[in-house]
Amino acid sequence: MKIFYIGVLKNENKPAHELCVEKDLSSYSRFTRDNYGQFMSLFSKTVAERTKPGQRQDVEEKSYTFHAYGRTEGVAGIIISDPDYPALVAHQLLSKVVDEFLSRYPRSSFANSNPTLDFPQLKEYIVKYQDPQQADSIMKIQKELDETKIVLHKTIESVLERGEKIDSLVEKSDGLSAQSKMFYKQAKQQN
Amino acid sequence: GRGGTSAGAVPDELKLAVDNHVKYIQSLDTRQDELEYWLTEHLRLNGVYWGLTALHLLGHPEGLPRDATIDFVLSCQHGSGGFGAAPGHDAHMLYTVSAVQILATIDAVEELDLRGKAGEEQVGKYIAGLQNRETGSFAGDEWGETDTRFLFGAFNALSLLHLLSLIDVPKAVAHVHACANFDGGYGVSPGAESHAGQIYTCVGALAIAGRLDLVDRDRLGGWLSERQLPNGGLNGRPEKLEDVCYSWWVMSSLAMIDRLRWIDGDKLTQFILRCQDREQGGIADRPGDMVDVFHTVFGIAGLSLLSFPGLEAVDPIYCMPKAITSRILSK
Amino acid sequence: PTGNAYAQLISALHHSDLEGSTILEIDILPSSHSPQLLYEHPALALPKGLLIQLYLTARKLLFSHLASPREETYDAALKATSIVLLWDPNHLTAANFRKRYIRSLSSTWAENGYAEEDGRRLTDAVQRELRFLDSLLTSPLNKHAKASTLWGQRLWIMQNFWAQALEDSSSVEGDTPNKATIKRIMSHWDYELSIVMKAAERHPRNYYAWQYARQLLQLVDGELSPQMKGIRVESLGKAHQWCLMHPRDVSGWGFLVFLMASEETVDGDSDGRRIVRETREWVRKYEWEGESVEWFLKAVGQLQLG
Ligand SMILES: CC(C)=CCC/C(C)=C/CC/C(C)=C/CC/C(C)=C/COP(=O)(O)OP(=O)(O)O
Repeated sequence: MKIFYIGVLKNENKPAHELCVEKDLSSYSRFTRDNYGQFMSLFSKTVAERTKPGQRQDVEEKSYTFHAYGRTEGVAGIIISDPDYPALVAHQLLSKVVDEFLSRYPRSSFANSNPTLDFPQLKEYIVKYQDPQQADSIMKIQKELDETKIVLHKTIESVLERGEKIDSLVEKSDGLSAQSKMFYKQAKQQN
Repeated sequence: GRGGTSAGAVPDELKLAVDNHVKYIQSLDTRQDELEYWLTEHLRLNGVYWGLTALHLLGHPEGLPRDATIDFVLSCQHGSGGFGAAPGHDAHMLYTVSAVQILATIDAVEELDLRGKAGEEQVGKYIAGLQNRETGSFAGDEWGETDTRFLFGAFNALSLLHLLSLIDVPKAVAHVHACANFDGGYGVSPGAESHAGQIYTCVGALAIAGRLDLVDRDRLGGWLSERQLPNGGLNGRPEKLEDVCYSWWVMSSLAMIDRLRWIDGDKLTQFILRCQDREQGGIADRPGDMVDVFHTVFGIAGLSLLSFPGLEAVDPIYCMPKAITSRILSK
Repeated sequence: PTGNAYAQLISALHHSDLEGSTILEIDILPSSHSPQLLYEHPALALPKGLLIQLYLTARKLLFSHLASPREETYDAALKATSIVLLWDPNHLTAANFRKRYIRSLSSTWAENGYAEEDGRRLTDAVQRELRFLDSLLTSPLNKHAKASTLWGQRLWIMQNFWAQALEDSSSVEGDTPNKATIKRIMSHWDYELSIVMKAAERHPRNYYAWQYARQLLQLVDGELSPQMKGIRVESLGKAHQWCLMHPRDVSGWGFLVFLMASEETVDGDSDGRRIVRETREWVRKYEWEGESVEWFLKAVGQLQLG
C-alpha cells in the first residue's frame, strides 16, 4: 500500500491549480522522479477539474487510484494511491485534509489568485497514513462517510469529455517538460 | 467461402497460425548476427529444446536441420558430461536436460558416444553426481543451489537415458513428498511456497518414479483449478497475472493427476489463441505482448493437452511428443 | 564514446566507498533521457541502448578470457561480469566467475596459513559482492529483484563465507565476544530482511526473495539456535506488518506462515493467536477480499497456528 500524492486543488476554473501538495516519490529513481511528479500533478488537475462540488470519486488508471473529493468552496482534495489502499480510508483522510485546509485558508485567500499555500500538516500525513491502520482514529470520528457515495471509474478516459484523449492532454500540457512527454510516449510503447 | 462465413467455418481468431509459428521458430536460428541472438545467448540450448518441441507438436518435425542441431548441442558439452547454455558457458543441470531432450527427440542420443566430449554414461554420471545422497535433493551445478526443478530435470533426463539406476530414487521421492504443502501444492524445497511451475516438476518426478499415489489429487486439483481467471487464462499463484506458460505447468499437472476437466478448456483455448501474433508468428505471455519461443512452446503444448485439432499429442510428463517418449520408454 | 562509458560504468559499479547504508541505485532509462551515463552517487542511470552496447563489450571480454585465460585479462574479465549481470541477472557463467574469484581468495588465505592480509582481502571481496548484490536486487530494474541466480549467489556467500559476511567494522567493542556476536548476527539478519522486503516491493510476490529469507533463517538457526527465539519473534511482528501493507502478496503471507510454523518461535501460540486475530479484524475493517489473505487464514486454520 502506498500513498504517492496528497493535494488540495482549486478547481472552479480550468486549468485547476495546486494550492498545496505533498508527494512521496521515493519509490522512483533519482532520474525519473521529476517525471513522475509532473505526471501526478497533471493527472490530479485533470481529475480535480472533473470533480463537482460535493462529489466523491475514485479513478483507477493502471497501478494508480485517484481519490477525489470536491467542495463547494471551489476546491477539491486529491489523493493518489496504489490500487490496494482502502478507498474509505483515503476519503476519510481527504475530508480531514480539506477541512483543516479550509479552516486555515478561507476561500478569500485563493479566490482571486493562484497562490501556493503553506500547509505543513501534509508532510506529516503523507508519512503517517502510508499505513491505513493509522487512520483508525479519524475513521471513528467521521462515521457518516459511506462507501456507496464514492463513484468509481475504471479508467481515467472515462472521466474525460467525449473526444478528449489522455495522450493529447499530455501533449498539450504546460506543466510537463519535453523530456517528460517523451518519457510518457516511450513508457507507453514498452507496455 | 469468400464474402461470407460458411456454416461451421472457424473464425480467424480461433485458428492457430501454424505456418507463421513454424516460420517464426525457424527464423530464430538464422538470426545469428542479430543483436537479439546475443542478448538471449544464455538460454540458447533451452531455446533449441523449446523451438524443436514446438515444431514437432505443430507437425513439422523436420523444421530444424538435424545435423546442425546435433552439432550445436554437442558444442555446448563439457568433458564432465554436463552441458552449458551455449559454447563456452558453464555446465548446469537445466541445460543438460535440454540437451538430452533434444537428442532424444531427434533420435540422436548415440551421438554422445560417437562424437561427444563425454559419452551417454558420463552424462548420466554428471547428473547423478548432483544428487545430495543424504537428503535426496538435487543441486543445479557444483555451486549447490537446490530446487525441485533440478530434481525433476534429473528424473526426466535419466529416464530418457535409461540410467535412473544411477541415483537414489526413493530418497528423491521422499524429498519431493516433503515439499508438499497444506494447500496440496509443492514448492522449490520443503516449506516453500506452492507454485504451479514447481508443482509440475514435483508431480512430474513422482510420475516418472511411479509414485503418484503420494499426491493428494483432489486437494492439488482444487488449488490448480483456482488458477483460472475470468479471461480464461491461468496464473501460477494466487493474485498473479495470467500467463500462457501456465497453460502448460497447470494443465500438465492436472493431466498427470487425471483432473484435466477441472478447468474450462474452451476458455483457456481461446485465451491462448488470443496471445498469438498471427502475422509474424509466435505466442506471447498475454494478448498484445511481444512473442518469444518459451511462451510459444508452452502455449502450443497446452493446446495439445486440450486436444486442439491438428496438433501432435504431447506427453504431460516430459513436454515432448508422446509418440517419441513412448518409443524411448518402451525400449 | 562507448569506451569512455564502459570505463565510467565499471568504475561506478565498483565504487569502493559504498558504505553499509548507501546502496547504489541503478536505473535503466528510456532514450528520452540523456544518451549518456548519469551518475550522482549513489544514483546511477543509463539508457537501455547504451547498456546493450556495453554488455556486448563485456561479454566479449569475459568469453575471450574464458577461452584463453591469461593473468593480464583476468581483472578486466572479472569486472566485465558486473555489466553482464546488469544486463542479464540470470547469466550463470558470469555469476560463477565471481564465485570462483571469491573461492580462489579463500584458498589463497588457507594456503598462506590464514595470514591476516589474505583474510582481509577475502572479507573485502565478500563485502563488495554483497553490496553489489544489494544494489542489483533492490534497484528499479526489471528482472533483477526476482533473479534466482542472484539470490542463489547471495545464499552461497552466506553458506560458505558466513564469518566474512558478518564482518562489521562498527562492531561493538568492549562487550563480551559472545554478546557482540549475537548482536552482530541479529543486525545482520535485520539487514538481510530489509533487502528481501525491498526486493519484494520492487517485484511483488517475489518467490525467490522470500525463499532466500527462509533459507537464511535456517542457516542462522544453525549458528545460533538458543538465541533464535528473539530473532523469530521480532521477525514475526515485522513480517505481519509487511503483509498488512502488502495484502495481495501471497509470498509474504507464505513467509509469515513459515515463521509461525517453526518450532523455535517462542510463545508461538500466543503470538500466533494475536496475529490471526489482528488479521481477521483487519479483513473485517476494510471489507477486504483477496485470495492471498484467504490463503493465509486457511493455512493458519489447517496448520493450527492460531
Ligand atoms: C522439461 C521442462 C518442460 C522443464 C524442465 C524443468 C523446469 C525448468 C521447470 C520450470 C518450472 C517453473 C516455471 C518453475 C517456477 C519457478 C519460479 C518459482 C518462478 C517464480 O516466479 P513467477 O511468479 O513464476 O514469475 P514472475 O516472478 O516472473 O512473475
